[in-house]
Amino acid sequence: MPKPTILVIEDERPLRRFLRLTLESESYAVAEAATGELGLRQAVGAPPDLIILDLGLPDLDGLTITQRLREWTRIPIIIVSARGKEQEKVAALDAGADDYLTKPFGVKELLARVRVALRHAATKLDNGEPVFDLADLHVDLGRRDVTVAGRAVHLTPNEYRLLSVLVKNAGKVITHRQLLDQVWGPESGESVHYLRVYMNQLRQKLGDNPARPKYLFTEPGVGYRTASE
Amino acid sequence: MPGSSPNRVTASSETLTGYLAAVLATAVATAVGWVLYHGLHLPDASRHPFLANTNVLMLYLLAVLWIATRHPRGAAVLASILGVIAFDICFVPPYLKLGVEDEQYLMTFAVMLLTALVISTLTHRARTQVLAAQQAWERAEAEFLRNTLLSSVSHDLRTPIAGIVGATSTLIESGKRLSPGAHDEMLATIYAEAERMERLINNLLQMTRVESGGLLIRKEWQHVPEILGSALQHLTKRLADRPLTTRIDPEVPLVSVDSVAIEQVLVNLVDNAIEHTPPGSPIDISITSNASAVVIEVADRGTGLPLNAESRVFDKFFHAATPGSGHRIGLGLGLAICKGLIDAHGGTIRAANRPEGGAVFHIELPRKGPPPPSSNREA
Repeated sequence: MPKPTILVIEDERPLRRFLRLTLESESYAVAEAATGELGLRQAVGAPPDLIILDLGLPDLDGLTITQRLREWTRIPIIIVSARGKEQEKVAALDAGADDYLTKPFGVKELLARVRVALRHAATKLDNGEPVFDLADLHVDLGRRDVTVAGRAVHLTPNEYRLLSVLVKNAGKVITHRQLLDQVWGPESGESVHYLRVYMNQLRQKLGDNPARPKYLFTEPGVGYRTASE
Repeated sequence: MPGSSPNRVTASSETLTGYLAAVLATAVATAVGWVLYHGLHLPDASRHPFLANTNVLMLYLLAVLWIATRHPRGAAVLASILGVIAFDICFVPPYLKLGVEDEQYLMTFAVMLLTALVISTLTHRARTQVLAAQQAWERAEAEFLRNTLLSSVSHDLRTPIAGIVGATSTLIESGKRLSPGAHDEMLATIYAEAERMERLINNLLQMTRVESGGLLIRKEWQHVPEILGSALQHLTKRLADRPLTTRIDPEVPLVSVDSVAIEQVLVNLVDNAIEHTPPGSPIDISITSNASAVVIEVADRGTGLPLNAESRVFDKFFHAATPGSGHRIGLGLGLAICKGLIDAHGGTIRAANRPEGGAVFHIELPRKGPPPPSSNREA
């Protein structure tokens, strides 16, 4: 199998160097672009397996780039954003970016995000794994069966749909909007607080303490992330 | 100058209010004097008044004094003049006419006007002095804060930079001769110090936002235990050697807050507990609710707050003297930011000492009405 190629769209040279060194040491091939326009052109010319996109580019904002990429490709996009840019980050995620990293981030976090994004891109082709196991939690999506430490957990249809969307995207952030659309439907018009009520119920049934979760993690202002490793 | 016109409008409307108040005060003095002097009748020279008309003068002087303490000088001068005229018309025969029968009243008028003007001048001067003293105090305070900020920032940023420069230069100069253990230690130092700088700069930026009113509070109905979860997630590394207990009431209602801001408050409070207690000392966090608020408590088992520092800990640049350590850890902004953010939510934050030892920070976030109703609720 050839090395996966990662395109880094980032205007800061030191950060680009750090990303190249780190990713190459993990045997990924790395391509670089210093502006949004160059990045878009490179993505068309030689489509990579994954794109790491900085939100603070001088020429184009992250939302525009994400939208222009999503017009023609499902290549996973990981956003790199500074603190205090929550709005732009959520907008890019809602527009189809796959995940994000907040500066400054460590290598472990970066590599975990890259692995999860590449894995999700791959499983989309073979319909994914129907069984999800994490510590005591076992979810069989084929048989609609949920157990914690061998004990059956009874979920309402909405709670089950919520959990199944979360575990299908394990390791990856899912925005509030995406969850509402996928669980209640895009026309339901439900608001985020409704989602919070359901998350609280779901966590209680799974025995997951919201303050110190084992399975379902909160990303404040963004959404939720299911643990994956 | 385009910027000056709003000021001018304010100034002239202030003058106008002053003049109106002067007219009103004179009218009130006249009405009160009228009732005391004439009773509830029209003036009648044959009836014996309750008091001498010169006593009514005092009412007018009182009106002048009242105006002088509150309004610009012109208003007090107007009140003085109106007072003399009203006194002449209402309380000096011939009544309801300008002018006098007895010429000794002219003397009374002159003294009355002079006294009123002296009162207004003295009051005005006293007022100006108080204002000037206040401004000087504020200037001195701003100056002090600026100096403290500059010296704190330069000290607190230089310390981690010194660590980073020292460790990197060692690695460059003699990296190959270092033992693997020393090598790793240098790298760990660089990492830890850079993270410390990052925290300092974040606090500084956040404080600037709180102070300048540039804080954007985006409220949504939130489950506070969730926010605590992500705050603790950020602190995993720093909490590694700490026994941490969380006590969460499962019935805590949703409350309308900005999750990012509340997360920062929780991170700062736990950070504060970590910095002011010995390594390995436990931290307890609880989230409960009462009829009017969701209540968060962050408690430690350190030495507690210094005597009478319960409210001063929220001041900018406040540093509890940590016995024996002799060095300051941060800028002293963490708790000031907490207070700023909680205030912006209309909540309260207090610090106290626990009876069994250690400090406890107590936050109340107001519950304002129930969350909006949801459709198609499941059983």
